[in-house]
Amino acid sequence: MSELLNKIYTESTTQPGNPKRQKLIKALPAVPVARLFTAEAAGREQFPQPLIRTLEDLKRNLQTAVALEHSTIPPYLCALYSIKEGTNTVASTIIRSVVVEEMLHMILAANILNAIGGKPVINQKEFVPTYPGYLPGSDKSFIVGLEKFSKESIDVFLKIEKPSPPLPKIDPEQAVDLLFEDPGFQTIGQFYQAIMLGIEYVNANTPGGIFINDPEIHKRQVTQEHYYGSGGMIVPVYSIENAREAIEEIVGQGEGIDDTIEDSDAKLFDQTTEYAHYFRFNELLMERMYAEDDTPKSGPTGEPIVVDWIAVHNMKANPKVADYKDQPDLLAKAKEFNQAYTQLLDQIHKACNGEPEQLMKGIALMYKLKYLATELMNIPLADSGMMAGPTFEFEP
Amino acid sequence: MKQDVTPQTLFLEISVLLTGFNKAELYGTGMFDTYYHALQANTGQANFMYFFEEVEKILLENGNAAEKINQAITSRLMQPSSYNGLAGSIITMWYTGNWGNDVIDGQAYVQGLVWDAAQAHPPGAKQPGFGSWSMPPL
Repeated sequence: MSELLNKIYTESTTQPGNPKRQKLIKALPAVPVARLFTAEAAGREQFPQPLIRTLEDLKRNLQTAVALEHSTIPPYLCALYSIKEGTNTVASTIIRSVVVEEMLHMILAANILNAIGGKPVINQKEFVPTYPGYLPGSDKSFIVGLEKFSKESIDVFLKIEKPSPPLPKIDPEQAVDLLFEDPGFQTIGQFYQAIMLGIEYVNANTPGGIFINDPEIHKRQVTQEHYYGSGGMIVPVYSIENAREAIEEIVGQGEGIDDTIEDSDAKLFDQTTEYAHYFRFNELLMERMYAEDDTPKSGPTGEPIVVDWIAVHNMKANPKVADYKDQPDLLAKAKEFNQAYTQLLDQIHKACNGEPEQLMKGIALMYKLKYLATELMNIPLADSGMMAGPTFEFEP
Repeated sequence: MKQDVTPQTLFLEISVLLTGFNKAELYGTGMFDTYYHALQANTGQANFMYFFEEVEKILLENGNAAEKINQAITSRLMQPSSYNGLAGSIITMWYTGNWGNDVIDGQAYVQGLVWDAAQAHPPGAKQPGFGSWSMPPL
């Protein structure tokens, strides 16, 4: 076993002939080992065991990945929709571009889960996060809520998209001493690294591998024909190579690759250079664009961005439909929003469970959500000077 | 708790009665303040004052009796001669975003209640998404 892990640690595990991609994957083992491995094997083997070692664990964690990607969307949408029509064009464009990619990540995670025989669950009450709350699978170091566009909310978004810290090289001697105490992850990147390591490990230990070569399973993949008009590319997953590609896309778009501020799309898909989510949000907070040669350390040094922090609907944070019980008209509208949201989750569920063509039908619902959310943010609350907002609660 | 009666609260109350849309729906357009200002700007001060005095009277006299309120509105506000046809102008404003022949605001066209009432969307705005025309209504 140590041989396999050694291979994962030290050799390229990705497609040959793509130096950029190799660099990205090579960073994989350089994660705080305590967070990726259990200490159960300490002393027994040269290397500790990966945290994810069974197919069932893998499926469970990929389901968490789907939930995690989804859980970022309502907070981003609240910030986006709170921006008053016709103002803050740059901010709107930036937040919107990130939301669209989070949707893509959700589908990519579902594609990987489907490829190994899992069944993504998206249309259940448990799937819908409670705000304010922690991100699924996180180490609970920060709370995410439904809030209007503000410096504070952008600061939380930066925490969500925070790149994994530069990490030490694996030292097998030291690794065995580390205890896996905390089941959560500091960054989304670490979580996906644990998943990728688990995929490599379980796949290598399963005769014939874990990627099911069956037309019926292949039909469950959401492909480019079902998904259009977004940053990045949908990657149908039929093999471990596709899974690596999908995870690179997810992590690269969020955090940037190889200590640069660019996201992975330009490298992987020849798209125009677009900065990773963390850096796009940082541009807003700093009210300045990144210039071409900027690095994470230099911060943005480009053109100033005009951010109008005042031209925002004053939405009361973390609303619940229960808050609206004394305003029946408002209550009805908030419920209408939640019904559309729940219906959308149901369509995405179907799309990820054998009916990928259902994804197109979700588009009309997404527009409906936007219009309803904007309407809610225009409705004053009777008990405060603040405005209502979408509550993103499960309402079948 | 009774809210203070101001021209704004009366404008909201009478708008609900005149349009048939509820408060959340009217606020939801995001046009409430814009329309209130348009109303003020386009109405003589005296006419504006008398109109809202009459609105307040109608509401006070009839309490929650919807039928009676409707009758009072029909007989006392809806005549073209009443208050220079102000009630009719308010309806037109909410439904079309126009005051007379003038567009009030760029958003007014998009937010006109006429689109909701017709279960349609304003051409060129609030689109329901690519390909939605191929699907039955949700």
